Amino acid sequence: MIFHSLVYLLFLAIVLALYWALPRRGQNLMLVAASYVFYGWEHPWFLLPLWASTLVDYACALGIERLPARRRLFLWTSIGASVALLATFKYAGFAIENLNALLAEFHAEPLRATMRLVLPAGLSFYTFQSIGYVVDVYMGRVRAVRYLPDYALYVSFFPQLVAGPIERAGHMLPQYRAARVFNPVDWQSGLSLMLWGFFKKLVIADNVALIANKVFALSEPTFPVLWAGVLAFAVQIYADFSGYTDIARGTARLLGIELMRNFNHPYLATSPADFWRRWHISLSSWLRDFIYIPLGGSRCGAARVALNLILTFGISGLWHGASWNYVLWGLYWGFLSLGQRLLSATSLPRLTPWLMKVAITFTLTCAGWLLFRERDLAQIAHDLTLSPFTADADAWGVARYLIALVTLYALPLTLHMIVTGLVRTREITARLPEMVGFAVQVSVCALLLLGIVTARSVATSDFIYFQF
Amino acid sequence: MKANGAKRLVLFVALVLAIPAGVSRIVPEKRNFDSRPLEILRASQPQLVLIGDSMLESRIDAQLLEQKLGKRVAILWNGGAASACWYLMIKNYVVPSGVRPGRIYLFFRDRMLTDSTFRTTGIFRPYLESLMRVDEPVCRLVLGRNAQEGRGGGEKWVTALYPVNGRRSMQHQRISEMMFRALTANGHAAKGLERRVNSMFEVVKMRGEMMAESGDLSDKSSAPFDGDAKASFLPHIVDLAANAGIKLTFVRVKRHAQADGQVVQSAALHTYIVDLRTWIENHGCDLIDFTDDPQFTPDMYLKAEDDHIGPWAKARSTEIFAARIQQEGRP
Repeated sequence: MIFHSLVYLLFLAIVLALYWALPRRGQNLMLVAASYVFYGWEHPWFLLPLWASTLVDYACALGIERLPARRRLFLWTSIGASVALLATFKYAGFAIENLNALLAEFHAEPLRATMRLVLPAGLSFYTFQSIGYVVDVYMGRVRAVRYLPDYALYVSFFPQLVAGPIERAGHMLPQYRAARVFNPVDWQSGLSLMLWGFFKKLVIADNVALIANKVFALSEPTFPVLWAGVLAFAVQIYADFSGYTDIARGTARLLGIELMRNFNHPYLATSPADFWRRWHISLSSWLRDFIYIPLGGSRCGAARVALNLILTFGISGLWHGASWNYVLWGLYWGFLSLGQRLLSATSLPRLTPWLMKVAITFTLTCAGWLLFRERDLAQIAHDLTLSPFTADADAWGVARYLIALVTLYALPLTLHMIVTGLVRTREITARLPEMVGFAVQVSVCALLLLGIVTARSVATSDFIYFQF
Repeated sequence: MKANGAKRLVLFVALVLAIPAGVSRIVPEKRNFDSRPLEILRASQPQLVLIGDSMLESRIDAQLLEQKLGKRVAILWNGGAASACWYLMIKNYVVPSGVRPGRIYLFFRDRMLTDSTFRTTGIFRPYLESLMRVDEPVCRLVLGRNAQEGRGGGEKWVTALYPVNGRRSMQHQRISEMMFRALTANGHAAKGLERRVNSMFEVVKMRGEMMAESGDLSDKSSAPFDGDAKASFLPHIVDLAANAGIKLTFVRVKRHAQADGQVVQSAALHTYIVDLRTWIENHGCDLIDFTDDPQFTPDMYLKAEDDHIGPWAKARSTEIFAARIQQEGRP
């Protein structure tokens, strides 16, 4: 089931009505059942790997606590099972394809086996969340869950199951154990957040996607048109993914559950490291805590720190997809972070004005999005050799038009960034009389809904991060 | 306190839903019917009108065809056009223009004439709607629930509550036109920029896989030919032309050929075409089928596995077409 469908709204209405009529235990059981309906709506078999992951990790976590002598075995069994799931569904085809290419280089017989399995939506998200839980139990940061439905809910909670945020057991399990109280204020903010998420997805992301898709479909793009397309994709992926997160967080809030913030105005970042503190926060903090720090983090020699960074970002790239362009994209960010570390030892960052740092980081981010969006490595190489000086006036004129369109569609995002990212809006609104605040919220939400029914794209696509 | 909160929540939801509904009803219901082709037809007074999609555009050079036939020619095409668009082009452009061309040539591939919903939704919808008048009963009849929106189910309810929802493809067109005007000094320059943008994203400039997608056809279907007026636009196209006293010839283009110049066709498709020809000829129209024409050689196609003719072979393709219709005495 997808968020931007009327079926989902109907489903949510039924879930909410039943949920708030039940006691806590019943609420959790109902949410597990609803999550399975949500997840298996179009492909019921998607539930099989989800159940397998849930049962194995539930049992392993209990094993870690109950049989301390074998805790390491349980930890690696759990991690191994999660990695095996990912390897089977996500990476096997990619591995065989590359192995065959290598064998062909040596004129050897290619492997006959082919793996073209459909990737269950959200597999990368819930396996990482499960690994996080088992490692946290192993490290003693959380207690293993005894009651299976509570753990099943932790893995399958439908608002965040398909595209995150990748939550932590320490944040979610106490909420699932606590009694939930219906709070109209939370409902108001949850509905507002959902509306903003729908607007970002349907009006901004889907409309600029038409531009990005057209540009990336060109066989011979010119420099200005290509980069106008990259800009469109930069807006698309942010509006798409953060839109999903807002709908997820809004939905969860209606259920009395608070999900973590996954974005914090990433295009206001002043450095690569700052970008990753603001973009897909749940993944970057997961990678930091479960990959980078266990590898030694920053508390080792310069060469080892460099290796840790490159490895962590390489894994991040591979997590996004079984394709070399994602690996390249991950490594690109690894090297950027490394470059930033070297520069931070100089006085350059302090001397550079804030706006210039934001502009440089945004430009570097866009260059990264080219690697992310373009799957074909040969085309990436070709794109990077394009010169602005060989493009004719027509190409610049077309690019100007595309950039103007993207800017127009991105205007609400920009305003939101200024209002909530730069200006101290919370302090200002807190001082407003209650009725004025209410009127402002109603006006903004009505405007968002009007925007959705007036300017929603005629060609709606799936959320980009569903494929990961 | 909680009761107050609940009341406020109800008021919040009611206002957020009602305000856009009210505003939505104030916006005048007017479709942005594109009347430019109508003006072009009136100005050029063509003796022959060619209608189709990018297959037509890649195959026929209008000026060269005029020279070869000694007749004024107009081409009505769009990269995302299919049978619904072609019906509307005849109904809302050719017939009301007052021009009475001697013949209309309608270029198609395989099953397009009876694939009624092909290219009527998603990215193809704005162009289709630009051809529509406020009410199009035949579109409603043939496309059913898809006629107004292109999607079924709850969309109908959303549009009932918020009428602007059904006209949003027009809003995008307005935004696009507004941007053309904002970036240029005058209307003439705006048209020039629009042409450059359209030219930049022509189908022939797309990558192979995208071209294949744009040329996607239901050639895997094994459904038999169906001349039912509720099922396809074909009978309506034929009726329109007959009522206007215009002769109609359907032109089946030759799809990409194998190295030996032959086009692979399934038995079901072959039967379908035989039935289609019989139906067309029984209804007083003609069918020219280029599928077996050896003059269209593989080197004339833009790319392997693609049905578009390359720019280098457009003149040649035009000559083949001109010769064929002259030979069959149809110009």
